[in-house]
Amino acid sequence: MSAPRGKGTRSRDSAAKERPSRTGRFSALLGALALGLAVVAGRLVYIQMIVGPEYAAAAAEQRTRDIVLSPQRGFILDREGEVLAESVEARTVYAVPNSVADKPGTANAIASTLGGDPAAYLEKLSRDTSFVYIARKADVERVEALRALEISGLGFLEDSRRVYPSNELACQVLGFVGVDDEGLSGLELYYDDLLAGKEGRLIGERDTQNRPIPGGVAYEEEAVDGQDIVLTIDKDIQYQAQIALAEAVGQWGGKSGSLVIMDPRNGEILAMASVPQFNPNDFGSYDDSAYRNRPVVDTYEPGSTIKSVTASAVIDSGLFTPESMFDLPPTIEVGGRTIHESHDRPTVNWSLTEIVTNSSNVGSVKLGLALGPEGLYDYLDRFGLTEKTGVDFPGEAKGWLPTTDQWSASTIATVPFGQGVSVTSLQLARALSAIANGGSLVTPHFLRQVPDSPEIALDWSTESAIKPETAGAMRAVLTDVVNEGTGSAAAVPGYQVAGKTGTAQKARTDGQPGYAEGKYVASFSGFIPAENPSILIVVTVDEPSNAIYGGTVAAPTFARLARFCVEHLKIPPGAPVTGVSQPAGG
Amino acid sequence: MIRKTRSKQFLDAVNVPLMVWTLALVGYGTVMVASATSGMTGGSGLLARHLVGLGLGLVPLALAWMFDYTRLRGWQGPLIALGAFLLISPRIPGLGYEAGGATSWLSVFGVRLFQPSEPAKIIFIVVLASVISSFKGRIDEPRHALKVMGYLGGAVGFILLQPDLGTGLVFIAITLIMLIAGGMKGRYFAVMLLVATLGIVGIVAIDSSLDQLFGKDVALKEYQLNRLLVFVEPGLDPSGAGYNLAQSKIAVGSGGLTGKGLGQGTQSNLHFIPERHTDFIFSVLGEELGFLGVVLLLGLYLALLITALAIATSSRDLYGAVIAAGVLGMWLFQILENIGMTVGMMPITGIPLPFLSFGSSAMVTNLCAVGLLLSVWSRRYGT
Repeated sequence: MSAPRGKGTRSRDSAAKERPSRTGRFSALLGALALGLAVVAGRLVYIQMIVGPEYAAAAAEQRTRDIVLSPQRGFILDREGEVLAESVEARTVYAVPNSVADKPGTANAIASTLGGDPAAYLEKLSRDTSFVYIARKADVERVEALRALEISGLGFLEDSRRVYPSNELACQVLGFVGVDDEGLSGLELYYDDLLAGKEGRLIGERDTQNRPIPGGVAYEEEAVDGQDIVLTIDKDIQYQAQIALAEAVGQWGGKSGSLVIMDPRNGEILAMASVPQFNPNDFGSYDDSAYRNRPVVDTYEPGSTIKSVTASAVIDSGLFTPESMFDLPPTIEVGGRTIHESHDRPTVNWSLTEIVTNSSNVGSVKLGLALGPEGLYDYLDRFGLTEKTGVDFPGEAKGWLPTTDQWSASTIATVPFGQGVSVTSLQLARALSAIANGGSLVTPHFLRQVPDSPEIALDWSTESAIKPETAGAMRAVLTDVVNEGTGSAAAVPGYQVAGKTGTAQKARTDGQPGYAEGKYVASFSGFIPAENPSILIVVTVDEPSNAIYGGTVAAPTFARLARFCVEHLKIPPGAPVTGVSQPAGG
Repeated sequence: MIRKTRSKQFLDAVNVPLMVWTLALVGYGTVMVASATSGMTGGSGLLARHLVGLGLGLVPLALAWMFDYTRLRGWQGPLIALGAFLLISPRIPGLGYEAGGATSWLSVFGVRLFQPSEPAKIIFIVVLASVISSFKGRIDEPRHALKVMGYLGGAVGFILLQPDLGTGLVFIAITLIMLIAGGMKGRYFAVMLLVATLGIVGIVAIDSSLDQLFGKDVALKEYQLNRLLVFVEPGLDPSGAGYNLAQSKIAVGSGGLTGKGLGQGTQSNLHFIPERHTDFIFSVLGEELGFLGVVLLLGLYLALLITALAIATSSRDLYGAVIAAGVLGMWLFQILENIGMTVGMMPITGIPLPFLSFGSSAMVTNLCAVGLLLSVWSRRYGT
């Protein structure tokens, strides 16, 4: 320091009297100002050098942090406009920990209003960060009670929460959303683009109360609410379907079950159920297996159900008519493999109709041999069993059917009665629809309408599978299955019902070839009224333990639901099915 | 008495260190204002205004320098009148201009001119120096101390009418330093501290009861109380004053050792720092130039203050010494308060950083203070 010294002090003695202890005082002042600046410098060493990196991190977090303005997620409605999934007003609570004065007191206040563990809140409030979520999508009333306490350092955001008012109803179909309202499964996932809306963003300066500081907004984009969607699901039918399926699975000691109710004329899915089920409002406390929308994502060997496809193929290709007669030995050997009936019987002479009504394996193999591998594969393909159905649902499975060049010598002897091929229930429902509706392969679907976007064309493709006459003839055959054959338990008084039972062995899952002992999939698929079908139902129960036959395990569930549907939808009985053939023998 | 040559006379009048430090600080300030305003709409206009303020300040600097400060003693009456007018002028209908909850500006026909409390600081220093120096370096009678308190009380009273608490604190700091230089007994400082503490508690109590009585904010503004309360209890954040502080600390802290570079301050440029070219210019400096830039600034201030102190010791009379001490006190308090508030050591007030902050009123005042110091310095041998 080269500051001038006080020469005047020394040169003027007379003035010295006037200022007795000036030097001392000025030394004190010098000390004071040096001390003051030293304290400030020390503070800056601390802020910039010691905790500087933390502030640098805070700065980085702060300038990239923007505030997301949540849109309200669109509702999901059933075909009658009943709410299946809705978004209700909620509040998100966050804290600016550095601004919370009394941390234990605040933690207790939060716990007493919002519920929860004070220690957990205290831990959040003690974090060295500028922003922490305290509770997301919390109940409005509780949060308002907390807000009324006017605790410093707490902030509140308008938010909304997904609620499924009917709990388990259509749970696997609807799916659920994550904490940021993003669709995680089911239709919530598939139609996330429509439902989610568009998040808004606000980038700008906000104070700790989350109030924008005037002029501090750098960028603002309003949130666009999501759109409501109307499903083809009928809430009442869905409810009955879930109850009936759960009861059937329980009654027969099954491992799981699946069920589809569809309008075969257009592919509208009226109900879809899977057991086990879960509550999407609390999906986290269920096992993942409950999330499976089984008719769409699970495949199984269809067994006898596929005989209706085999029969349709021979009729459609002009090889036989329902009345064509066949000599059927007790067993048949093809490609080194002996095919048995499920119930031993002597050699019989049965019509094509009887082969189906009695669910004869040997008869089906004869039909398959008549078609040949190419012919059989062609019809399986026409019935859509080689492709996904195109349903508007995420993660659809496609069954397994090798192309004919990969077939073994015995494949032609197993596929006709449903072994060595796997399908989903929905694929079967779609195939059966072609018989029900006169030959068209429809696209099963859930979305009926997007009220706010009428421009979204709901164009569900259809293609021709079989001739209308073939379909008509098969309807008569399948009506006999219920009237005279294995499906008698599916009958609905006053109505003609058409359908086919299925009792399929399950392939071993331990890596060995062959079928698992005592493990079956029991199913029934059919439609009503048989003359002019508007309801098609596929019921499967996986691994029933008390009984194994589809006619016993699944057919009664079909009957119960078919009856409910015709009553609920006020479907009149149709005209008698023409061309019903009377079985010629035992 | 030795007769001096003209050139010797001129050299006697020039205090090179003071001029160098002042020039360096002004240059530093200009760079920082340029950086802080570069991202603002109309930023170049603000920089131009800053430079105009600098130019304007040279006029009072030169005038004060040339003028023999001892002659100011004879103008005590008019100076008191002028000072009182300046302090009260914003409250005179037609002359006040309200900004930020306070009426601290003088305006004529709605045109904002300057903040009268800034030049009033200089006048207060000159007036009080005359009073204090009249006690001949010993303030050991209560009535002497009370007389000084009377002047201070009057000034602060007028300031609180605006109301501008921060400036009031500056006046108190000026008075304290001048009293030290003027030789007040140590015991009196202790008494003053006690009275001040009781006074503040009393004022807050009276203010809140007045507010309750009238059902509205009558005396102290809510935000002023909040600023003080935030200082006492940092967790309390009634008006977001803690937000400014947090932002400022983040900016300064994120500067680290070398800073992010001029104009590269992310916190400054993204509007996180309020008043970044005025009250919070230090936050910009800390962020952009880091600890090294801060050390440079503090070093310059230390040099400036020591130079002012040296001029006080060199004064040929107590009057000049106390004037220099007053200027020293003004700068010291404003530096400590302004930097202190940006790093959470002091309450947040609207006090500018000397020579650094944008603002012509303060710049002109500070340059005038430099002129006053030069006047004391250049007449240290008498004439």
